[in-house]
Amino acid sequence: MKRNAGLKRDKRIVTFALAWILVFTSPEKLYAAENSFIDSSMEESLKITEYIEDANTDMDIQTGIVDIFGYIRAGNISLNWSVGSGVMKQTSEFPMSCGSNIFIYVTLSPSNKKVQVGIIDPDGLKRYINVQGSASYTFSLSKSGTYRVFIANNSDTIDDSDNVQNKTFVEG
Amino acid sequence: MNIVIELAFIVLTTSLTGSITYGVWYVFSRIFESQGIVHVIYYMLKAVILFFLIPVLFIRMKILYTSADGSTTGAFLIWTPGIKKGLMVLGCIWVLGVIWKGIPYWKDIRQNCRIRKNCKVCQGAPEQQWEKICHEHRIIRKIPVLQGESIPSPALDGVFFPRIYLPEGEHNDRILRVAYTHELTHYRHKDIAFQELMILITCLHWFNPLIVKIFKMNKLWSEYYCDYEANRILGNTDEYIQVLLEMALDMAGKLSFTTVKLYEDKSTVLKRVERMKKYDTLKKMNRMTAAVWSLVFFLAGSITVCAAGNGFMRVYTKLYNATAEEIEEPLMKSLNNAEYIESVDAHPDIQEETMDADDYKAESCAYAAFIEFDIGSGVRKQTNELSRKSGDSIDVGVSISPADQNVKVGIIEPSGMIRYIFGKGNISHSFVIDKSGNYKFFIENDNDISVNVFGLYRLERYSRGEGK
Repeated sequence: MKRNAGLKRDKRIVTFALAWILVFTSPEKLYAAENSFIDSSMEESLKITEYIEDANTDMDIQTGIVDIFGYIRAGNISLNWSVGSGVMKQTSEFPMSCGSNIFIYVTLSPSNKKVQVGIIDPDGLKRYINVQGSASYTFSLSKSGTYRVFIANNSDTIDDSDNVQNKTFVEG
Repeated sequence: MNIVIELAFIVLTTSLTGSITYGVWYVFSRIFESQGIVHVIYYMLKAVILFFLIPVLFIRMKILYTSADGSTTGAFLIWTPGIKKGLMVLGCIWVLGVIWKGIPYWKDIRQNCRIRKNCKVCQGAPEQQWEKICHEHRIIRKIPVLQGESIPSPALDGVFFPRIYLPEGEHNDRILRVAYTHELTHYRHKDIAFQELMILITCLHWFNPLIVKIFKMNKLWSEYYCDYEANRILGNTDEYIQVLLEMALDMAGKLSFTTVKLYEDKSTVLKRVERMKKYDTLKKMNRMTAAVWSLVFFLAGSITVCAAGNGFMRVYTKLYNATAEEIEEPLMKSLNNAEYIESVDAHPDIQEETMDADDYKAESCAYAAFIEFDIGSGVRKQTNELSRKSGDSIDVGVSISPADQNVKVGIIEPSGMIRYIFGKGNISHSFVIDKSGNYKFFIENDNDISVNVFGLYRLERYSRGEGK
């Protein structure tokens, strides 16, 4: 009798466990089924319409990364940076004397993004210009010391209007 | 200033890493001690001490935030005027603190020098026994044994020139054997070096409230492990404890920071006796388990340190953003950035000049030519022919002074047409080439006065980044 009761209890535990496994796996199966349905629908729709888009441009828009090519006259520095959204990047320090100039030329890709380009003076004060596309600027220096050139990408990560502009639509 | 901020980062990050690893060590030491693996606790504490000196986190941050060209990302190693002022004040306080903390140790070193001068080299039986024990421990180096009135307890001193000190008077073989074995174990463990490092850390990280605790822990654990090892070598716990207690009863004197002694103070001796008895009865953890636990310690420590490093940078970035002072400079651009096209012969009275070597600067970067020259009134200054393919571009960025004078900046096409933009101050534009051929870049001054041009032009290929 005792043995039978134990067996019954074991069976109940196994049934309970199996029921839970079933409950947990069911939504995944449904989800997978739903996905396969969506995939097949997508395939159907792709037969009708073909989209071509510039993968690199889209990546830039999605991540907010801006490629920057720049030349700094003082310090003889050339820049070839990719700066992510919300990121500030700066050169190493270079010495400059009072009365001299720092000339900066930058060109951005994608050209519709806006970044701050400027210098950090020996006290840590930032002087900058807002740049879209390309720009050149000469910063006149009023104190001697070590300077840095910085680029801050404060652009948003996703811009839907850009996304639309960069898509080429081909009817199939 | 860069050195100041680097020093500030190093001191703060080492203090942070040291404190965190000490916290991890403290937790793990409880587990290890209950398992009787004293040596692991001891060596981990030494690692904790090194974390206060080796800027591991700073090096990690430098690797993370610095590029090969020396540029840095985020707020790493940059400052604002507010941070600069704060660092200057805090830096002065820190230096004063280091001096204030260092004075007692300096006095201690001088006192040790005086004591050393009053000591004489041991001769006879104590020296013979010392040599015998050195031989047993396979120590080849000749370490002198000194004896003096002002020595309160057998002690070891000196990192590079170690010496053993003995109190004045006759000591029996039993005491000498215990004392020598104990001090020689300290010598083998390099405890004096770590003691000196701990003093340096105490001075450098005086602002860290944990430092006093770690200093005491280092002293305690160097004694615990030394007792553990010496006792293992001598093989007689009772005798060892007896000698220790005899020394505790007989001797007293001013403690020196830079020496390790057989007897430190009464409470310490009692703790040491307790530990020795405890370790004697504990069943040791097997090596494999000890190794696994050690690995867990290092993993836990590393993960916590990395997380703390990220947290440190987040806090510093917030501080930087909160105190940042910025000035936006007005940017005068060319009129609408619109290109004008006209025949090269539209103004026959214009005087043409070709840019020569004096107009270019030797420091020109790759793909770009830096120019600097004056253009007289009614002069068009142009380059020699530049071969360009369809889809390429000629990019220009120049500053004109006086800034209120408009100039023409453009290119002369192979067909003889000129394309230009009209602007003043800072001018930048990209002329996209639609037909392959030889082009010229020019700047034209139609003003009544001469202007100075400063900037560059670059030859860009269609595929960005290749350049010419």
